[in-house]
Amino acid sequence: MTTWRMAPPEPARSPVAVPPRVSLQNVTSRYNEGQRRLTALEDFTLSISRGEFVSIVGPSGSGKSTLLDIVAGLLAPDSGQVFMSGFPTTAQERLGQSAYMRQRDLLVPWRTALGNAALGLEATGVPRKAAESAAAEQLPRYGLAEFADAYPNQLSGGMRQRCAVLRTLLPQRDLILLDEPFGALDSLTRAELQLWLAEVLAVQQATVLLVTHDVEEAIMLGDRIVVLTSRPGRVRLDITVPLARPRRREVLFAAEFLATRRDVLGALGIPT
Amino acid sequence: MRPPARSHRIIVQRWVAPLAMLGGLVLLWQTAVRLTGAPQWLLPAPTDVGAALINDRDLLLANALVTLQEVLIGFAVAVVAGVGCGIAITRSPVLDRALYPLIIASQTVPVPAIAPLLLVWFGYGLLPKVLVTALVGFFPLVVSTVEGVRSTDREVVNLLRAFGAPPGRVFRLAEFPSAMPAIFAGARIAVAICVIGAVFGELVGAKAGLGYLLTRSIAQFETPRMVAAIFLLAVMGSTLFALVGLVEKLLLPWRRLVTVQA
Repeated sequence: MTTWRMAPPEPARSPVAVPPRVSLQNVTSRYNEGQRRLTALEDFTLSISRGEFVSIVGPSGSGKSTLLDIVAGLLAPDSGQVFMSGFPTTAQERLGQSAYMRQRDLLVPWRTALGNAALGLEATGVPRKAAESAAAEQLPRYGLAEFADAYPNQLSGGMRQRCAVLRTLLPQRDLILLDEPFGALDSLTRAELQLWLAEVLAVQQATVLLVTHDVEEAIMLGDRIVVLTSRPGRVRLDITVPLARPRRREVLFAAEFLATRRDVLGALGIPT
Repeated sequence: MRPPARSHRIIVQRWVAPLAMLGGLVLLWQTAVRLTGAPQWLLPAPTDVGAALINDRDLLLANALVTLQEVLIGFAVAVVAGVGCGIAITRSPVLDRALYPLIIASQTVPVPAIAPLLLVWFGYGLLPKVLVTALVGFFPLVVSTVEGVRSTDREVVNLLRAFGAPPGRVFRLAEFPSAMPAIFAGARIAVAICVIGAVFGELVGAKAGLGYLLTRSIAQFETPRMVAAIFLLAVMGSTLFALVGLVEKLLLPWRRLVTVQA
């Protein structure tokens, strides 16, 4: 238990203090764009409890993707620290702790739907045969049972994205990072997949960080909404969604939903 | 199912047009020889070449097999060494800086300058021909392997890294399969120029092979036999080229779908 002392002081939520799954402390991250040195995140502090679903909303260039890259371990911040379950970590140590899904489905053209669904699990070191049989079991739940042998370019946009979700969730990581997962889809398919993802994730009980520019998607799926400021990214608003999860389409008209939506839009500077 | 009209047009475009072109050229050649009355040793007619192919078939076949053997061994060496070096270069920044510029610079040294040296070192046997063949096939394979691995989608690589895949596993799951089409493109070029490499190795000094038969036939004014040997080399080159394409189709079935979509 001595190592826990290295964790930053947290307001006690329960008699036994459980360290947050992810905690970013005073993180600053800069990047080069041509000749200019831009600051994606500045003195950024955010803690996410175990099992919490946090939606991160912000204008483009607010460092949302940088935030996920840092948590995934793909990027080391220029300053500040990242704690995972209470332990300070280097970027290298964070690799392999999460499952990452991006806006582009990133299905590889040389693998079938089944092979692509198994790729995440194979990346964690599971042999191909075992990974594919694990993926095959899940395909029906993802509406892909009949498309196991189809190559990505034979699948529709919605099917491709569902396949990417399966690839993300199959390794059963307790930390899931979603970077505008449905941003590339048409609004009907997106609405359908949001509801479906809410159900799938309710079973998984993982800590989820969802980056999105879709305010309704953020409220629909999240326990908590964090609104970022434009570059450099800081926390402008951090509110809890007062609705039980998983939610159904009807909550779009609930008073709590509308109130949360008004707060979020207000923080983004969009008149309601 | 394609509509019949379209499939008919594709057959015409793919087979009838080139065959008609070839037939027309052969006919023109035959007519030109007959009209000018050029002697056989100066310009043999296609019928003379055909006769040589039939009459000298044992001689031609025996020598063609020697050349084919050199090409196949040389190509195999080029594939193993070229893809191996290419992978090593992408794995190690040190090798990338130390080896890759040398390999590219080595291409400025003409093979005709090296072939006689190999002859001096290794004699008139199989080895110097295989080495020349492997040498010319090596370069396109190294370059296509390196470029193929490097053109892997960075986001796919990062996705696998985020899942915890170490570099070797990222290579096996993403970079190598992603490089396969480029490697095959390099292999098709390599196999065609390997035939040239083998013939060049034989021209410098040999006791058998189509290149050797070429030089001997021209010295004996057996021009029809020489043209027959050239014809066999062309057939060998195109067949090997097509075979590499066939292997690619079998190993990378997804490629056909991608091309159709594009």
